[in-house]
Amino acid sequence: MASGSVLFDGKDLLSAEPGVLQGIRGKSISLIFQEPSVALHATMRVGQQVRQVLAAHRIGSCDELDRRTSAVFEILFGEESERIARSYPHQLSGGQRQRILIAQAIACRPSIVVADEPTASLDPTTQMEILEVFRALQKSMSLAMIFITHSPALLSGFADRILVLYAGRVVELGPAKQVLISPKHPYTQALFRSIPALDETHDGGKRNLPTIARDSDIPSLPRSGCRFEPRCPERMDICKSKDPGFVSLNASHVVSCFRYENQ
Amino acid sequence: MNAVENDKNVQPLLEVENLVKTYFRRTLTGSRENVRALDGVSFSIFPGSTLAIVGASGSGKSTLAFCLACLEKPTSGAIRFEEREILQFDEKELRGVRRKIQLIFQDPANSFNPRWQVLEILTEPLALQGNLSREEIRLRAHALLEQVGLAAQMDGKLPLELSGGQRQRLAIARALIIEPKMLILDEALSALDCSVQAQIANLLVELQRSRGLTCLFITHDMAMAAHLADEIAVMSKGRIVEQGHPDKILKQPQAGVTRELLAAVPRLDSAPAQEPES
Amino acid sequence: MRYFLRRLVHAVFLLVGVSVLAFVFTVLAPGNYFDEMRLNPQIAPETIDALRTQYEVNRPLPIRYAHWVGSVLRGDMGFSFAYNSPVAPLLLVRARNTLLLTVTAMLLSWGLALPVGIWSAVHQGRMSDRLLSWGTAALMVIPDLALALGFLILAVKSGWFPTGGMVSLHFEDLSFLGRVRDLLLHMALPTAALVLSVLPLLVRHVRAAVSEVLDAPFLLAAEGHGIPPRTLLYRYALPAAANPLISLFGFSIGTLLSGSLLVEVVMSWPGLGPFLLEAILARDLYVVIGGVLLSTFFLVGGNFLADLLLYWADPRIRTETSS
Repeated sequence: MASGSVLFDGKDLLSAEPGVLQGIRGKSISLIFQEPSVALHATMRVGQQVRQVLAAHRIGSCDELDRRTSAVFEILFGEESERIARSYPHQLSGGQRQRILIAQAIACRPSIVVADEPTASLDPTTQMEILEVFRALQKSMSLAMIFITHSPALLSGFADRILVLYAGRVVELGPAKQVLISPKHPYTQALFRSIPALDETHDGGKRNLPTIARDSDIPSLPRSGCRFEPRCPERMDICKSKDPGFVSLNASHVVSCFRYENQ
Repeated sequence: MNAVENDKNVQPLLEVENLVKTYFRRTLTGSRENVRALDGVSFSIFPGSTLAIVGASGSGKSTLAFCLACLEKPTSGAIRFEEREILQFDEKELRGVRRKIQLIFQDPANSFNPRWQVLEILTEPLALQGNLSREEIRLRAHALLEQVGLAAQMDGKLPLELSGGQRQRLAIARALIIEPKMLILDEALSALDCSVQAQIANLLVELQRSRGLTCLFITHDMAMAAHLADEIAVMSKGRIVEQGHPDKILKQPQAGVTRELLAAVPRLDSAPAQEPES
Repeated sequence: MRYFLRRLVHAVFLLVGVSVLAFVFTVLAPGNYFDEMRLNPQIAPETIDALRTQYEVNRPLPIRYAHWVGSVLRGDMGFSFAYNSPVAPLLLVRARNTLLLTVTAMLLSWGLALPVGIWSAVHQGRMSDRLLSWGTAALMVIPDLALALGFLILAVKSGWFPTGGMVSLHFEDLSFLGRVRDLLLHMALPTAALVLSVLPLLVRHVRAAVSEVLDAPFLLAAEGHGIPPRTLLYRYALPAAANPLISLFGFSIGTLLSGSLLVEVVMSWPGLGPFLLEAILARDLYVVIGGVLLSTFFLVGGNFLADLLLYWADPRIRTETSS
């Protein structure tokens, strides 16, 4: 980390000791990895893998650990929980593996769960199921979630707030409904336009999808000015030289763009 | 009920009849399980058109792609390419067919040799064919790089220096360099960001127009399938349950599976069944 | 289950095949035990001929082989010309002595190689790891013979260790503890020579296997769940790195009987190696074949054990698909 701070419960995580961090990981803040097929240990039974997370934070005696593990499996798998707990990862489907990752993440009842593209490798039906699981968990555990995705449509009806990142900078942040239905930042707008809609007409000629010009490249040197400027369809002169600050469109919606500076 | 029968005399480029693929799996207890990945699949594709095969995981889509690209042998059934029955071919003739049908995989990160540069990756298929000079090969490679939207100066880069979208473009270029008749794209867009998906989709449309390519597009993304394809076939548990023009599939789905897939497509502006308190 | 039955049948076939080959080659090799005797003018030719008939040296090959197989099944494993006794007890005593040495050496070397290799993999690239790398390379370069001789010199010069043999002359008179001490003293240097010759290779293999696993995503994911570092290493990384190591382990069992020949000869340890060497030089046919068979048995058994361990350790092997 080059600069900035990460505060949790009043403590700065960036300058914390490794021992303290290890205590926080999995217990207060937990992470759901992206690729369930490689995030699980190949030769350990999945029940054991969940139990290990509990054991690492010394939740209680052996019996207590077993009890908590079964409880978590009940929540996520219902009837089949026993059979699944004894299986190995390669015997489970993608959706089931994703649920194991979720089980590991919620086992210690953390305050925050960070989910990194949890549905990226799943097909649409399973995606919907997993989103349902998240919704149910949020309600029952009053879980705070940071859901990272590159598919904005998933967040519809699911997220409370949406934060849009480009090249390491926040470009837009606001209530989900507002951002999804009327996005303000040119990047957000272009992004949403490039998704094919189900209700477009198919009259035999295939139209091109609107795309964002050029490829995104990772800028090697820090430069001044808006990061999106080279590809922005609405760019102005000022965008090249100065970093746009944050403009509040209303009480909860901010945008980082010069277009909205003088409103 | 084929959507692309503009000329009654045109024969399908690829005809699949009753394809079956079974394999055995051993469970942890030691017993043997019979898995029918493909359970009697039949369809045909006309030259210059795109057929999209849509289905959930485990429906057999990838097995189908591998069988068509001659990477696996089906247990029974017939595949006719350019009106010739290819399942009877010996290894030499099969190689000839493989050149005409190219497969593009889902994972742009892992489909290349990580130590080879872009130019080597691109020219390897041509070099293997062995009938062009090195200079000619280089020229073709550069021309193709331009066609897919990669700068010619990228030919010295390694795959890990390219972005996901650029790698997929490279995969397409590599597939096209030996001028195949048909491209099979097995979830080729699924691992990409949505804006990059749009770019690659546009590229595919353009290439189809300019080269008369036939495409088999395998995906679980109904929206993209409807956008790109002339015809959609819905697969479930190794069978095709519904087939037809995108409009018809979208507006009047018959099979339960199709309806489920459509319902699962995330939409930007819709609200879900339950409204969360916010 | 069927997997193992198949492997077992293969193993048996292998043993039979090796026995045939060993038999044929040893018999066909020029010279036999009695040629030496012939040169001795004190032994009458008739005695030699009588002995030859008794030992069936003149009968055709397949018949001799059949009689030998019968002898193996009876537990005798043939007859030694030189020692005038069935081969089996001779071999087994010597094999026991060798195993005493090699099993101890194997346990010690694996016991050392695992933690050292893991530590080295974790500290990859740092100065300590590089020093260890040079150390193991240097050890590997030193020939086993030099190591054994070096230890022998140590024993002679310092007087702390006996210079040869397995037990002292007065072994029988010692108390139980005294006997144990005596044996350990005699074992110390040969075991040390064996361990030092095998250890560097093992350490490198362990290091390579573990460092490959250390980059894996599942390890990062486990760290993200707050699993403490020691658990990460021993319950997550090591089992995942186990596959190549298990195969290596099986192979080292195979060399249990044969790997210590040099050390045994130099340090006068009464093991299988020197015994077989003598037998070969004397053309003591059935001892040689018996020794070869015993070694093969260990080799095949070691591989079989490795297969068993792999099957048990890696559930993915249990559920292989085939079409």
